[in-house]
Amino acid sequence: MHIPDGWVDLPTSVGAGVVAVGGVAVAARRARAALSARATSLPAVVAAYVLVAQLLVVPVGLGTSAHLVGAGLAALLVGPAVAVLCAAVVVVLQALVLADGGVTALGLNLINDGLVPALVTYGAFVLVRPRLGGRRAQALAGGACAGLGALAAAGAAALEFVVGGTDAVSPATVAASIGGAHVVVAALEAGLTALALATLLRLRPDLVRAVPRRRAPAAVAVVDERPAVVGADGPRGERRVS
Amino acid sequence: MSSSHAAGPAPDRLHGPLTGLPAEAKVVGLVAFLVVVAVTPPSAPWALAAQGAVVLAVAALALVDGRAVAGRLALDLPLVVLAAAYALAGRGPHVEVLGVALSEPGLRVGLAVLAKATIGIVAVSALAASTSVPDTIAGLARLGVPGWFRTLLALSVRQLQVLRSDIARIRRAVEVRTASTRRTVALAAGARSLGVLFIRSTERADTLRLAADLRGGAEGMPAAEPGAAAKRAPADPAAPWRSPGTVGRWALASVPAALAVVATVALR
Repeated sequence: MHIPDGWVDLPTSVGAGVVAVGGVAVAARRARAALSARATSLPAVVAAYVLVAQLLVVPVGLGTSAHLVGAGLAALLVGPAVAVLCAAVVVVLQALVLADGGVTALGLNLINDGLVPALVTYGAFVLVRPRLGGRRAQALAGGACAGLGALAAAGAAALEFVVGGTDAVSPATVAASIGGAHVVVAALEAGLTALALATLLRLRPDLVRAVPRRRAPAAVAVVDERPAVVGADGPRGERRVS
Repeated sequence: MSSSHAAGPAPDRLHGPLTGLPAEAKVVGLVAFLVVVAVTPPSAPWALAAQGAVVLAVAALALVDGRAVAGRLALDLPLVVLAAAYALAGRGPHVEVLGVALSEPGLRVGLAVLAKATIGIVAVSALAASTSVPDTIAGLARLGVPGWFRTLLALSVRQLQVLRSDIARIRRAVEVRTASTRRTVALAAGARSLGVLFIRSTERADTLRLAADLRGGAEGMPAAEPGAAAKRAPADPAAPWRSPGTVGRWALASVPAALAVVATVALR
């Protein structure tokens, strides 16, 4: 879930907003090529995909529900810089159009659902990448890294509460409850990310940026400017799967 | 591609009194209002109640669909749990409610967070009901949001519509094939199709990109028509307050924030 208005005090929200805007600016500079008019469609697809993945809500109990964060998967697919920009789009749309997450908490949500999980997931995956053998290991490791990213996001949320939350409840209690709920979220994140990655690595490994291409398919090499092949009816029969 | 056409354009919004206000004024007014709500101390429940009344009035003016808001208020459910946790685990002094010892400050803060989040949801619903997404994006342009971000935002909205229709189709197919409308079945199917859904979306986006290129151009988005919102709301001689000048429109959009300030100061 997203942080609503009024959960932490205003100075913390403003500080988080400054950090978030800075992070997005750095990401935008690093992702300049991906944002050129020609290639913007891939980040947009990723952003919409993350939004939809977040609609896949699983009840956890006690009236609370958990959903994918998605930023970890996005980072594995398009790299951390573009993933942060996608997360920014997701958070802004949710705050201004879908009424999910507070408008004054935009910066907090961008840090928790964008910067932290994207960087942690991608960083962890880069660390373990040299040891991974086959596609199965890569998918599982990617899922585990995304789970780690979700846990780190929960840690960030707890930290924000310690800094700017109410003093009517002891911070340790709140941190414990946030952490406990997010163990479930992290497990879900890990499983679903591994599932999606497994499919993608099998059918279109060129779409997963975190995994270096060993041998690029010829068609992809030719139209490198437009990385995805139009209507790729590949030898493995992508179109038969729905 | 027939599938993307099937998604169709978003239905036209009802034309209410707030539709004609410039989107940037509404966004700034919304943020200002919510900032005031956020700084209202939990020790002033009546101020929060007054702000709730203000937001309900604005929502009524914006012709907000009650069912849509009710659906969004489901997002409040975790906060009810949170408020209960605050009340049970908070520091003293404790009060007895129905035989359960509850922390008074915890209860107060928990209810305040719940109230603020609810006010936020209704306020954003008022913006969303009275402003189309293209108008909002054009408003963000006039607020200085950079072009690449607006392009990304607009393309994402379109991709979201297409993806949603894809998912609806997958769900229908699952219901037909398994003769089951259970949520778990649909969720499992959704989880299994996550990867393929992404592949399909990128392929479709590439096809669209290619088609646009072939038709010549399509560098970026067509520029949003300046003042599109204003044009759709022509001056109404019977109600001149509906078509005031720029200053008047901004003043009108900041009325909720001003009322919230008054409520906070007067009722603290």
